[in-house]
Amino acid sequence: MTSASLSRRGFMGQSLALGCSLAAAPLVTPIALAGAPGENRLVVIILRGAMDGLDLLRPLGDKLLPELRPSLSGEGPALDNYFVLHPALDGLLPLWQAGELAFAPATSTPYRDRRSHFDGQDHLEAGTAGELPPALTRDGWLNRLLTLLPGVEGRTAFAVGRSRMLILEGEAPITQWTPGTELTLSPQSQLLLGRLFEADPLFAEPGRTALEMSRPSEGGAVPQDAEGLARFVAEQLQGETRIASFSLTGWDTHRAQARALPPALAQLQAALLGLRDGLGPIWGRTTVMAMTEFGRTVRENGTGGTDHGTGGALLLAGGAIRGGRMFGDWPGLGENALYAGRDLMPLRDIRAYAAWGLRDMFGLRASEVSGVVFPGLDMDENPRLLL
Amino acid sequence: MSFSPAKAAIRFGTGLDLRHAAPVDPAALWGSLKAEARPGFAITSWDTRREYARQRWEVRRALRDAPDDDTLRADLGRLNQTDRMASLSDLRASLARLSAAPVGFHARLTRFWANHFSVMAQGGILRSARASFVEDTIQPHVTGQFRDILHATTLHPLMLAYLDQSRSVGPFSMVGRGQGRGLNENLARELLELHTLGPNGDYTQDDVTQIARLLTGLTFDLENGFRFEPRIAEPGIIEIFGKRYGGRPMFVEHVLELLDDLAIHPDTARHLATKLVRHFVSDAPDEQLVAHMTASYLQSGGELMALYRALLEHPAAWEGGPGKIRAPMELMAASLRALDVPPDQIIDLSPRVTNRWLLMPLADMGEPHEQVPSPAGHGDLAVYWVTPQALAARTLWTMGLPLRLEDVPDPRRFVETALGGQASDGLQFAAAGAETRAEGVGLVLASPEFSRR
Repeated sequence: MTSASLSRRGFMGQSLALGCSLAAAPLVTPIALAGAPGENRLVVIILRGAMDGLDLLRPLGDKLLPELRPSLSGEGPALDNYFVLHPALDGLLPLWQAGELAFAPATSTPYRDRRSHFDGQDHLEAGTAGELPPALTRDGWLNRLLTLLPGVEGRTAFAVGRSRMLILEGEAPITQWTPGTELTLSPQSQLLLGRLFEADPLFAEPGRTALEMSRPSEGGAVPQDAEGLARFVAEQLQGETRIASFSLTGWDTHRAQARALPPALAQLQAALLGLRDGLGPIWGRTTVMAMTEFGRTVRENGTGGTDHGTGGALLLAGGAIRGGRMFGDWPGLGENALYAGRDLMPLRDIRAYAAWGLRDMFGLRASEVSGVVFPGLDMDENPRLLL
Repeated sequence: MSFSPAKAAIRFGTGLDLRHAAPVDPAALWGSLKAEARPGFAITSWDTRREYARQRWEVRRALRDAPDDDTLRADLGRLNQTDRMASLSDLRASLARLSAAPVGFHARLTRFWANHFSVMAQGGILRSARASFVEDTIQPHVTGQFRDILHATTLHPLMLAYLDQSRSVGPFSMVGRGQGRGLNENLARELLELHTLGPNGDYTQDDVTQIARLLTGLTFDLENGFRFEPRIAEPGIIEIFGKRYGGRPMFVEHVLELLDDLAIHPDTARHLATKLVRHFVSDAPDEQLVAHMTASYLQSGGELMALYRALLEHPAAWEGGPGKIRAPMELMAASLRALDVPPDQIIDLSPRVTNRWLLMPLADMGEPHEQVPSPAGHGDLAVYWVTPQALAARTLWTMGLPLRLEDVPDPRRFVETALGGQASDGLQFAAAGAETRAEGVGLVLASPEFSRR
């Protein structure tokens, strides 16, 4: 039944309608959301590309800084008599003053020495140590957290994003979404398609969610930047969602960091303020953790940038935290204090901060957290991150 | 429920259209494999990708000494752009192959094995080399012996890089003793767990370690590609599953001998059979079908054609309704062929349209071009592709496709073509009840029925 006489159906000119609008957020990659019981909210922001903790939080009190970092040691909003914020983050000063912002200035994952972004991010999101055991390389610590919580549901446990968030992957149900996915269907098509989805058990529930979430937003306002993204997350957290995760990129500042870093910091600031504004009263029950795969070299390199390092900063925000302070000790910048003679020495495993935060936030036993969420982790003393 | 030509085309091929006759019996479907073994539409070769990587490495090295050299920066930008353009071209070619194949079983199997040997370039020097990897290591051997695929994939630089083998050093090798470097077990573990014996295979951590010792020496460089490097290879006899491998001098042949043995291990046969049935037929593989395929494969000494014949000739391969879901690329290909879009027009799409109309939607549907989620590849249960995000993206793309056509068919006839006369009353009603032809055709393509295979 080949019929060469059939006329092929060609495409029309390529300039024609690409169909529906699909907005890509350039600096912002994924969001993942998960529903869990209780009223406390957790947002984990992964800063992909190795954020320079020493520039986020400048240790101006250390006299070595101007020598180590000639172009990266200017003044900024003072947090205490030692650290100042990067000037691009001046919008966060009110949070610090209100006790809604805090840092652990010298922390890292257990990942050491190879300094690969991909491996470092895998370690950060898997939450495991050393060579990743095979069973654990394919799920993330936020997903393992979900397995400990009662009443986690499919519809409310949803994830949003274009690329992958290993941190939320695993057995517990989550859903993904990229803000800005819009379907412009006629009412008739919407109705007919809805019926077709309903008729197939595999498609019924995800189909319902898809049609509902992809309804074009009123006024055509599609979240395209970090703030819009944060507001989208806030909207979900006001509903059934309790846990959300997304990532921000633009941190890999090998050259001209004084110019390259501020746009990424501005995104981070916009995300935090967007969450606070979008959450309203719920901000008081919210903890935000912004973490990165590793820090950057203590010395500025020959091109005004910094290279892959080890220790870095953990940022905490939210109305639920005991903020306005630094958690953990500070190793200093002296030659002998550095890791491998080049990097900030991490003084505590970043997973220990996360672990205690989860325990206090979700009423878990420490043994559950160190057994399931971060297997084998020595949690040590409680830093008491929360109020 | 038993064999039908439409079922053959949908379950094992890339779908139905008016131009090609669906296979009349299982033997015809099996015969299509040899006939379609050499598809047109060129994919960028691995040697070309390697050469891009080599040049990128050189430019980057020069940039370390002269970071502000604008000529070098421009060179780097041009190289990256060339790589990106080649990657978009590979995407168009892959899609054209799927949609143009008379049956498409061979193209589907190529995708199956590409997912079985899941690799990707992780940025940096090497970029977008997955399509080239598949073209080099899998495409030529889909109808050959499994060990041919196993050799080619295990020794390929992209695999050696992705699973860290090129960083693994025998502790008692010349380099290992001198520098105190050691084993990386990643490839050894995945070789057993994913590529051969399977997660339920009969092996222990000690077997993984022994295999990791034997695999040392496999590495590559950007000048010549794969290389066996005796200076990092662990010397001495290494015992694996009761057999002695290796010895001095160290040769790559010792590794190939192990791969040959793993290829015809009974656990491997069972693992491959189970995965094939789960991929093509059902989330819950029929035990008798798996047993039949396992026995046929082992009897043939590892012939893939014997494995496929055992699959197709068994009645259980034809039972049940369409329990599986077309992966995003398969959905695109099935839509394009059902609408009789000429493959040349896919090839001719501009980079911009390829990016916005193929690349980005595929990522939203969960199958980003040139990427894999893990060494285990994409999930193979029907539910894997059916998430709200993916469904929205599938709907967006399928509803938009008819709007791009010069000539939209009558949805009432199109629903017959696309579903081989098996469309439900509900779908026929929707096709006929849409407000426009384009919406009617779009609804057929967006329907769960068209997504099922």
